[in-house]
Order: sequence, then C-alpha cells, then structure tokens
Amino acid sequence: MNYAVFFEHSGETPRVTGSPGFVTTKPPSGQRTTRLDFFDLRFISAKDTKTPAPLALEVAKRNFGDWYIALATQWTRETGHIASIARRRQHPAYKNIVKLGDRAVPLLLDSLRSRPDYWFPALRELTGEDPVQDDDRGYYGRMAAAWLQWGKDRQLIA
Amino acid sequence: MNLLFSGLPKLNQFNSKLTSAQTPRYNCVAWSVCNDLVSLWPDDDNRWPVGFSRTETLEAFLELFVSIGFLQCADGSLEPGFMKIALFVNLEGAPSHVARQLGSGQWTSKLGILADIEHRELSLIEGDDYGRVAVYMRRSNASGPIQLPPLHPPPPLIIQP
Repeated sequence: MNYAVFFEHSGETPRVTGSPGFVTTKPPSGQRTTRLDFFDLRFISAKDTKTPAPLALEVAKRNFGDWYIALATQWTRETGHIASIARRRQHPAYKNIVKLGDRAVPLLLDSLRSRPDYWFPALRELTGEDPVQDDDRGYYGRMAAAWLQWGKDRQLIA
Repeated sequence: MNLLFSGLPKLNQFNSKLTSAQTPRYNCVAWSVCNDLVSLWPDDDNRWPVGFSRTETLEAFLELFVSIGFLQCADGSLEPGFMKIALFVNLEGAPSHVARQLGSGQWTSKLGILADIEHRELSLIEGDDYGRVAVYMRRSNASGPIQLPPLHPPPPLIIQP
C-alpha cells in the first residue's frame, strides 16, 4: 500500500517519527501552520512509520481536496437518491475517488462528518479493514463513529 | 438546482414537497414500513431479516413484505382501510425503490440518503434510475402496527487489501 511521506526542501535527512504506516520529517519550525510550506507530498511503500494526525487530512485537502470534493459532490448529486449501494458504486465519480488510493482515506473519513453518505465500501476497499461491528451495520451513526475512531486511532483525522 | 431533483427530473416544487431533512439514517425500504431509524437493504452495509434471501432481487423484497402482512394487489388506487406500497424495479429488473401511499392518496418516498418527500403520482419518480412500478402491495390497517422480523447484520465481509 502507498503511504504519505514528507520531505524537507532543505535536504535534511528525514526523521522517522511514528508508528507503522507513515513517515514524516522533522519540521524546521514548531509552527504547525507553517509546516506544510516546507514539505512535498510523495508516496512510497512504507513499513514502519507514521504521519502526524491532522496533517494527513490537511495535506490531502491541500493537494487534491478540491478535486475530491468535486467528485464526492457529483457522486451524491447524481446517485444520492439511489438506495442500492452496489449500483451507486458503478458511478464513474465513485470509481475515480477509489483510484485516488490511500490518499483519499483521510478525506473519506472527514466526509463521514461533513457530507454524510455511504463511504464505507470505499473505506473498506482502500484500507482492507472494517472496524464496524456486525451489530452496528445499518445504523449510519454507529458505522460512521466506528470509522472515525479508526481514523483517530491512526492519527489520520483529528 | 435542488439536489433532490437532479436525479429525478420529473420532480419539482409544484408536484412534490420535502417532508424531512436529508439523512442517511434510514432508506426507502425502512420508510415504506414507517421506520426512520435504520436502513434496510440486502447488502453488506444494511440490515435485513434473519434467514431471508440477501440478494437484490424482487423476490427477496417480496419475501420481506409478505412476512409483515402485505399482499400483492392490482394497483395504487386509494382503498380505505389498507396501507399500500409500490415496489419499483430498474431497467435491469433489480429493486430500486419502495414508495408508501398516504391516507390522502399521495405517496411518500425516502430518496436514498437524501430527504423524504410527498409526491402526487408515482410516475413522477419513474425513469432511468428508479425504473417503473413492478408490484403493488397492500396491508390491512386492522393488522395493527408493522412488526419487522428480527433483523440481522450481513455475513462477515471478505476483505481484500
């Protein structure tokens, strides 16, 4: 799977800071709001690293948030009235969101709060995981809560 | 453009009206049996009765509605003493929607994850996405409140990273 990695423009050696999944470099200043200015977002196969929590969502929004929102809006607008999730997944906008790969995961998690819709199949497809308990299926609020906690535990969202 | 009307182009503010806020909490099947707490659909993300066919077929939907007292009927005309529903199938013959008749003779529909609406005619939501009405069913009001059979989550999902 692909994971986000942040490199400093200064050329300093990236510093591994976290748990499995992501790599991040040490920021040149302690100001969180300025950190994004010093990094490029790239994707590699990572083994044992981690990204800071809100950063994954912030970077995803910064890099392709507009594109994602356009796709997500199109998907809901053109298929939101359809009850069959299987049918909705055939829509090109949904397929393009899934093609974003891991990069879309923080945005999908954020969407569970900001634009409620059935993002669960895409999250399962992209992460290979499913934190929803069987007894909670069919209850949107419980399913969303399980995924949001999953994202928080991995520091993908705040 | 109103989000509700973009996928159902025959609807407009003159022939239908919003009757709820937008929510993914329940869907058309649940709403057709007066339930606004859960989504009912035979797939991986929704609930469906224990032991019932978990396939997106008209037969599976008929099994559900027959189990709670509905019987097929000829049409969607208003019949005092009966609650009626209309099952839609899309162009591929798969179930796409369920609408419920109100006491006024109008119909109420929960539109996917959007809002629910009242609409004068079933034909207003027919088209490429909902297809057409395949079956009308009715249930006597004397049968009392609808009791859904025990619902069950879907079988464990097979995850393919």
